[in-house]
Amino acid sequence: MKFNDAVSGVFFILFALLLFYLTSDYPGLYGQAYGPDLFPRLIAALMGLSGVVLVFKGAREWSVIPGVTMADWMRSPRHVGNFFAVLLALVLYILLSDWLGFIITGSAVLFGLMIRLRGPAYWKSSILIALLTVVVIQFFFGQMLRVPLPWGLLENYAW
Amino acid sequence: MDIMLQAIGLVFDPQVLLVILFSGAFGMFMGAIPGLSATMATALLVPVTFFMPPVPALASIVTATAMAIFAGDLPGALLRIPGTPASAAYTDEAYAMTRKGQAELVLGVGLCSAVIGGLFGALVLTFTAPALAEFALKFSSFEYFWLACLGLTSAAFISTDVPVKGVISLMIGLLIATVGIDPTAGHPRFTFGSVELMGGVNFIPAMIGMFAVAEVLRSVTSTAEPVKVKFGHFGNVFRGVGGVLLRYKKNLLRGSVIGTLVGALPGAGSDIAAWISYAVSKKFSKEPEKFGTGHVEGIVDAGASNNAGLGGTWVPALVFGIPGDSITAIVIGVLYVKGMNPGPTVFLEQPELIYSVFVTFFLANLFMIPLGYVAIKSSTQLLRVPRNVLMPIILMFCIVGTFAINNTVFGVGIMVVLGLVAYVMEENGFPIAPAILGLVLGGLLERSFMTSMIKADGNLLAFFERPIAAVLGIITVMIWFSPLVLRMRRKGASPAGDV
Amino acid sequence: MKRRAILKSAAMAVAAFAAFGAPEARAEWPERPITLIVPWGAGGGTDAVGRIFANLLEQELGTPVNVVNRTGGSGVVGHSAIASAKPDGYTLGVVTVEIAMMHWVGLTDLSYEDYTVIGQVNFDAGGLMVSTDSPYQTAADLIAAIKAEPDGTFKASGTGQGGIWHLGGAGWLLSEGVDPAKVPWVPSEGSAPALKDMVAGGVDYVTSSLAEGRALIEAGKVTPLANMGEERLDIFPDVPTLKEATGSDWTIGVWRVIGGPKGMPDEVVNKLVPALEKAYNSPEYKEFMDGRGFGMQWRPSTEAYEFMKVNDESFGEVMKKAGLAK
Repeated sequence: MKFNDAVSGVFFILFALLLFYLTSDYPGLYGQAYGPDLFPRLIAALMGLSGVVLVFKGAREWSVIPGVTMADWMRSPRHVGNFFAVLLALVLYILLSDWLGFIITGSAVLFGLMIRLRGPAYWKSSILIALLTVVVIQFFFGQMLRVPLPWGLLENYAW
Repeated sequence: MDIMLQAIGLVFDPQVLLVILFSGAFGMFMGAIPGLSATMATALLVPVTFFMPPVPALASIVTATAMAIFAGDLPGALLRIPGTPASAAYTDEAYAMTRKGQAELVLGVGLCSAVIGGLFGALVLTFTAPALAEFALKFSSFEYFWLACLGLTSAAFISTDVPVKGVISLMIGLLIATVGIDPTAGHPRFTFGSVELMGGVNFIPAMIGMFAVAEVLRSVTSTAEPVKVKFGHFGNVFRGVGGVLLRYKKNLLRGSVIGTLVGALPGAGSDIAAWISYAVSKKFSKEPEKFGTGHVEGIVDAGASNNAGLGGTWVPALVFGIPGDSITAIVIGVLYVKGMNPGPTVFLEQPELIYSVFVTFFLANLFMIPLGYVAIKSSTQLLRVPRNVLMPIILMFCIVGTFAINNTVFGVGIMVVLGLVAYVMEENGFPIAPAILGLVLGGLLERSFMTSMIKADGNLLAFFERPIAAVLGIITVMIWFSPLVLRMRRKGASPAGDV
Repeated sequence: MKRRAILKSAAMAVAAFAAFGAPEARAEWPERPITLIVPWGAGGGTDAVGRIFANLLEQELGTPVNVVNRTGGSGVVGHSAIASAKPDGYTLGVVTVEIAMMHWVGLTDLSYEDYTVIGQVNFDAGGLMVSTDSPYQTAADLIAAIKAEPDGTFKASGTGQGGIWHLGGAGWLLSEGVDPAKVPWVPSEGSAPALKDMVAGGVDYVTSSLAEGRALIEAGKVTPLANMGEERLDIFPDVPTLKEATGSDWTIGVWRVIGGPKGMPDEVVNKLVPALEKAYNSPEYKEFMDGRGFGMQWRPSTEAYEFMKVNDESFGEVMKKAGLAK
């Protein structure tokens, strides 16, 4: 998704204003004129100013570059699906890994993604790769390096 | 000399050598896998080294970090995902070379400059540690403020054709760095009531998200045929490398010196060393217009610099117990556990142990040649693995890598969000590198600025009162204004010059 | 469709595991690995203390004890993780002195009341250090000069704003009848950067524990003026206590406590306290603490809880007077 720079510019101006609002109730620093709000506000000011520059730049190109241009892949359902499959996989991992444990969630996520990207025809090798990756990671990181990857449901089978 | 021989004896023990071999392979792996980094390699080694004798414990950390810093170049060059933050400065450049079919050349050059830089850093560490530490101790918050500014200035040199987008990207990075408890008043900022956000946005999940997740998203939505990477002459990793190194021998030296010095400054480290070296390289290059198009010159500088910095960071750590970067912060803890309390007395009380650390530095860097060769050869094979298999696996490593930073899935959430942000930014022509630089330097910049202001009671002139600060400050200001002056001159020559 | 079939069998496998994995009849604690949360980073002092105890408890209890670092937010993140864990004895943690301070500044609602305390294992008194270049080489000279010179002449550092050594410095000034605002606090990321800044000439004195300044003291860069404990320290026997140096009654120190979330079953606590005490008395622990210059201090469960309570109250009082509390 490509935006005309004027659109991005307006976004950053609004974002800068939001930052000013969010920092408005920060406490001062014992009698000094600046405090924890100084830095975020400096950043916001520079961001807003850059936004203004972008608005001018974008406005000049408005006739050539429309407000929003769809990327090529957005018209292809397969690629849109891929995009969301990656996000979904990550979100599912975040939500489920504590409960199901690393091995189950990890291999499900890996397997699902590979099926999505390579097609169901490759299910055998996908299962194999998913399980192998997860077991190797569990052994190397969980066992040897003691990263506390969650066991979840497999708690009683922990090794 | 006796002590040196004793130290060599300690290191050339079959068991220690075995540890070095294993940790070398471990470091290569950690660096080469996107999502894992040199700092994490060290942190993960802590529990393992906890019950080892001092020499193998320290040898394993030295070796693993040296390898990881180099190995970070591998996925950077091959997949455009830097393996460690220290490679982020020249990832685009290296990837551009890979697309031109020069994958082996860029990695070979990276390897050799890493070895040379590493050996240089080790030499400096061995012979000048106390003197260099003395110099580093003169740096107070004023000097650090200017150093951070110099670092940020390098963003201007890595930025793209639309400078204002580089500025916005930098601001995004700086902004993310402000999340969490603020360094001066202890007030939580942008935490929205979340305890996890109070801890701030850790740099590693952020970097993994912005490079790796964004790249995975780009890869799975790519409608074009994947770029066919041309392979040169296989097995000739070192072909042409000698010529490049000879041509840029000055860059090698410059990168090594800058790397060691920046590394020796507490709080700076290899990442910042690489950025500054790359920027310096472009600034003084005879052909700066080639930078960004797959030009090897900057990689020589920065590749030597980040490995030289590694030796540098041990200087203040050993002499004064002050960490040079996040890796040596962990190392100091390990030193204490091993009964080698950092400080000048350790050179008197247990010199053989300290010298064995130095010996390991040399050994690890020499060892990097064969190990790096194997790593390059095997990782170029990575490109033959179908992307549809590779990308999910990389994603899995990213998840584990971000999880291990603070042992919580919260880091994975940060990674996802910033991955999306970076994806949209790239689509719209906002470069990612300045945002990463902002994240690296944001904390240092704010902390040094605010504490300096408190010390000076708000008097801005104090930033120029101390001699080193004054020199750094004047250099920084001159660099800021030089493009303006240049542009004005150029404009005088060609009135049509609209940039 | 093939894909659906695969998903179905995967789901069934998960369900089967879940059924298998259902908790069996409750066996005696501990029957599985214990997690020990450390609210500070790998390699730090608290991390080392945590790892030593993890190893010793592992031998005592016969089950793995894994250290997990949960850092950030001035310790809030890790302390929250300990307090919010299930109080089943499988999650323990190292609770540090910050728990008696962070609720006063409004960072969290957590206090000592949210923990089951197993035992206190360490205490380190605060200190007072200046650069060897400083014109004031005794605590009495320093405080006299602070009183004589105008506000803001002296700057001090040692921790972040509202951190333990900030409190240490402010409490000392209060005890000498000086308004803490007279000496602006320069926040730092910890003791090491503060000491470095002092040596570089950035601040005038640092109030962290003397053990933290050991390397620089031995390097002749830093002069220790006093320690803020009740007695002189074994590692610096020549350095007077604050009482001896200026007559001030102020004492402060950091401590580390092994504990777990509130509401842990008595049977677990009754097993843990003796195990911890045995670990505390082991030669390994003593050797480590002596090597690092950390102070030994043992208080079992209830005593340690009382100690935390008293600390909490006195800290709150000073923090309010010094304008640090919300």
